[in-house]
Amino acid sequence: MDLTQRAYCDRILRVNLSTGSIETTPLPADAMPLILGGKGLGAWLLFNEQPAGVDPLSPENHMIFHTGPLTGTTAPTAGRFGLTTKSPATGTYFDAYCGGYWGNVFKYAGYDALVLTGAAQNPVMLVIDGDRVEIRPAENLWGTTISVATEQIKTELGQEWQSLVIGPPGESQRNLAGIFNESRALARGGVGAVMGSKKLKAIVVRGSGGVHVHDKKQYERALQLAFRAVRMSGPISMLRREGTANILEVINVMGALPTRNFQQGQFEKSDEISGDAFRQNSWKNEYACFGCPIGCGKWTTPLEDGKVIEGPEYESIYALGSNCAISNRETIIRLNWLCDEYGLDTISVGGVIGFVMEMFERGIVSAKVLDGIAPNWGNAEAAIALVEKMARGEGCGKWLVQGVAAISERYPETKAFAMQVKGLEMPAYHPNAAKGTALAYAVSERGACHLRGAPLGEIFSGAANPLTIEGKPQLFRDHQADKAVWDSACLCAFPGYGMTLKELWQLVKAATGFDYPKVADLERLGERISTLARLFNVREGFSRTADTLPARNLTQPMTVGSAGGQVVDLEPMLDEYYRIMGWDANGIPTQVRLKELGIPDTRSFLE
Amino acid sequence: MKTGLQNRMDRLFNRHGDGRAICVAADHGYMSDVTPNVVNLNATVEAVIAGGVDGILLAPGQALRLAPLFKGREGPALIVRADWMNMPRLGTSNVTNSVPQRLLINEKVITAEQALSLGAIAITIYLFLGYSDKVETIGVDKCARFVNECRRAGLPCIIEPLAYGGKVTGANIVEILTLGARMAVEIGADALKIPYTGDVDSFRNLIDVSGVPTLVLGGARSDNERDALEMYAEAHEAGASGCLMGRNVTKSPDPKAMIEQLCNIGHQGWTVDEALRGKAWDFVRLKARPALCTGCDLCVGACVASHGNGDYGLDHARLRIESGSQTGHHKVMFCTICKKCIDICPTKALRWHLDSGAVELIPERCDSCSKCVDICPTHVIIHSKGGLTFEDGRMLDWFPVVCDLCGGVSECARICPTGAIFTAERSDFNPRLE
Repeated sequence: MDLTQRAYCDRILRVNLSTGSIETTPLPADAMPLILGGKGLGAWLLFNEQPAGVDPLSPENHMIFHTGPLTGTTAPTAGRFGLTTKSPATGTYFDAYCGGYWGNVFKYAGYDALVLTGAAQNPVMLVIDGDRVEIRPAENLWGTTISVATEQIKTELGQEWQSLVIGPPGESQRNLAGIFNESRALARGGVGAVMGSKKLKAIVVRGSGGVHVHDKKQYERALQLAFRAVRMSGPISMLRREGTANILEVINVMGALPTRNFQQGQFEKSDEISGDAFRQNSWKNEYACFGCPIGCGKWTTPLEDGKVIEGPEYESIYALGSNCAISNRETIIRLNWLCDEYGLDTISVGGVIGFVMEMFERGIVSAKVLDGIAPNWGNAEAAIALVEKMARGEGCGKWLVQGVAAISERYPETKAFAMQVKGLEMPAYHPNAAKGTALAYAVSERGACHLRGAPLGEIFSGAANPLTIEGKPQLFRDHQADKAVWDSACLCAFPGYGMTLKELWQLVKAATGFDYPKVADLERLGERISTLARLFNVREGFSRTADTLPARNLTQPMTVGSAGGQVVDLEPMLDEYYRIMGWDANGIPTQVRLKELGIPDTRSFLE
Repeated sequence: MKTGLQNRMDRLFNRHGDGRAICVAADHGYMSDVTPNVVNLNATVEAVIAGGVDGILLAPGQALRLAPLFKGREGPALIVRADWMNMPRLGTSNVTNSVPQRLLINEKVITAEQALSLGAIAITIYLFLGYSDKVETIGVDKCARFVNECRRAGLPCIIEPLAYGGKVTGANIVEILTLGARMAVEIGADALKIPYTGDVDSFRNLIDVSGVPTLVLGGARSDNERDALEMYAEAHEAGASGCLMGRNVTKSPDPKAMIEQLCNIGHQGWTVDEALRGKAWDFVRLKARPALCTGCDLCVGACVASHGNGDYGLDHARLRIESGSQTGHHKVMFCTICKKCIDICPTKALRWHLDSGAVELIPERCDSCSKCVDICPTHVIIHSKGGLTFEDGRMLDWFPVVCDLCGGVSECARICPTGAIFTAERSDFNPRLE
């Protein structure tokens, strides 16, 4: 089977930064129909090549950048790529995805994936110029912010180069550090810290190759149907109009907009931070990632000092806004700018600020501990000062930038309202107001995550009554499998508000020529990949006890709002979900199910 | 009253004697916010009537107000929306996004007799599917009552099955819609208004299963007008009796032209391309609206994929997107057929292509002097990847690659999601006279 005729490059670039060795290997050909690419490939390689118990910040940790079969074609959002590694924030398998313009160019350079191991002695950058790959010193870039490093690379190498860079928090190996392709990021889980631990400032790429699909005629027809589904979708026209923030008002009505560190699910000033408010007052024009017919990104009008961001996204508006009781749009934009400029994850940064504000209000931390900053609810100056300290690694910023879980360890009395799961700060949907989403936060392979199949439709699209637990394990299982397919084909989630798995299946089949007779074959593939990710975590020692939520979700209902009085009855959902997935009562996949899913070598996996 | 029913069915579906009706839905004003397309409803309705529309769906109040426009038996048929629902309020209207079950409201607003007195030729009501048995029971009950009222009044009842609830997935939507079509007919629908199932075969099956005239609805508006026309053309091929499209027509910059195009497909059997070009365009050119460009590079990718060896990539494209002077702004650089390259070529190797009107290279005459590449104001003439060897042994290291307008149907314009680059007529041009 010639994979280069099936939309792959059939080359994995392997770089060891300790030894300086650079080589390429073919894809695991037999496995490709089982794992497709993207997330599947990342999970496969990490599981098979990285032994248990590796310190995430040690040279032994693998960073696996991956594309999918559709990457680089004209499929909607085909510039997307992912990264799979072991996270310093969670200690789990961790995959992150990013739009922008790096993924397609990396594939044009002739690779499906990049496996990075080892660590350099001094700061370096990896330069991938098609077949010519080299590790170059990057002392001059070390210590620079995202935009400065990016600009300098473009000036030195040329405008056509695409870069992935980390900022100072990444260099200092902080848990909230991300990896940035200009305004887009692999943001969560401290993936920037892993890169920093390898003394790798940047991965720059240029390429002029192409992608050959298996059946061009069929693929073009599938493209036509996919684009039409995207273009003729109401929700997608809302995404284009108001960005991801278009859902904020609905989420607020449903009582699911986390406010004041999840003390409430409705924000009294939601109309000041809604998509419509940003559109009317703060946004100037659209931004689209490579190959994206939607363009949900928005460029802001400049702040007083000329600062501009592409954003803020819904998640950032919740995290830096309602979660901190901040309703001033300029403040949210300023906080977001700080995160983008220094290379931090907005969701986790907002999670930390909201958490610290609650600690301050409760008298658990004083201004003295916080270098004189007094962050009461909604205090914009204090929030900006704290984020600046986190960004620059100064004073209290040094320990704040390690995330909510680490802070909570310093102050054990805060555990009940430390809003994180497995070390990852919670995203923008209040679990008490959305029970299927709560289950997803509890069991997702990378901690509290809304993008690993959380059935968000229960909140804004009538998928079910969000307040009940009935049927939610099945709903989550279906969404999780579905999402794993999108992440393995490596497309953004948003075309999926017009396209369905059927349109994706048509694209994947035509591109790869793999034998997937039914849409359901891809669902099975998705479940297989999610299970692989679970297996990695099982091998690291995770099981049912880690699949949980903070007490604020489990036993402490909100007193007001549409979801007032609600708590998450998690255990019955876990029982049901494990049963559906074919896992035992402790959350470990059974040999029987692994065999059914066609996961080979199942015995060696669990030894 | 059977005669009345048949007369009205004829009035709607047989204005052209072909059993097909091109209709417009303009009842959005009372279900969503008052979007610009329905603010000046009078002008929109006048425009689509001028375009030859066969039927117009209106809410009762607007039907009363705009009655004079329907001009007796010569005018289009008035279809009245007989119920109200809150779904579009939350800006959510497809499979993956619909109003939460407990918030869904669907109310009857008019009786069949009242509709008749407004001059209605037919009425439309919703039937919601995919939520739960309870929601469906209420819907079936409502539809059955309407059908009874309509029967007594001799008024055709068009049921609109919508598969929106949480049980709808990509894997089962076709099945749910097909079942919904049949349910509507079993309840007593005289015709259907229904979403397209995504492909000709499954829609043909749906129409066969329903056995009554079926109008395909349009759904949310695409910025690419071709989408709505293609969708209707496919539904037409599957045996649909017409369309009942709303936003794709009313939000169009030119609703009259859109109706003319749909009519030409439905009543004249034109292809989408023929319809798009109303009067046949002899020659086309590319034009751009850079303010609409998001920089997504789909045009560049489509250009590369449709030339050379057909692989997908960005290298050796015949157009280019550049960063503009301000953050987030872009420049669309494409062949403007300015003729500078043809004029400067010392060996007359470049000329107008007689069929497409694009610039064409006669390789035998080229000596790779690069003058055309240098003079191109948009820098879209590029060096070929490889060279050429002629029969007489002469070799070219490279030759200029020029935009060929894809022979008239430009792929860059076809794929552009925002209309930032588009095809326009190139009038007063004859390559033979140039």
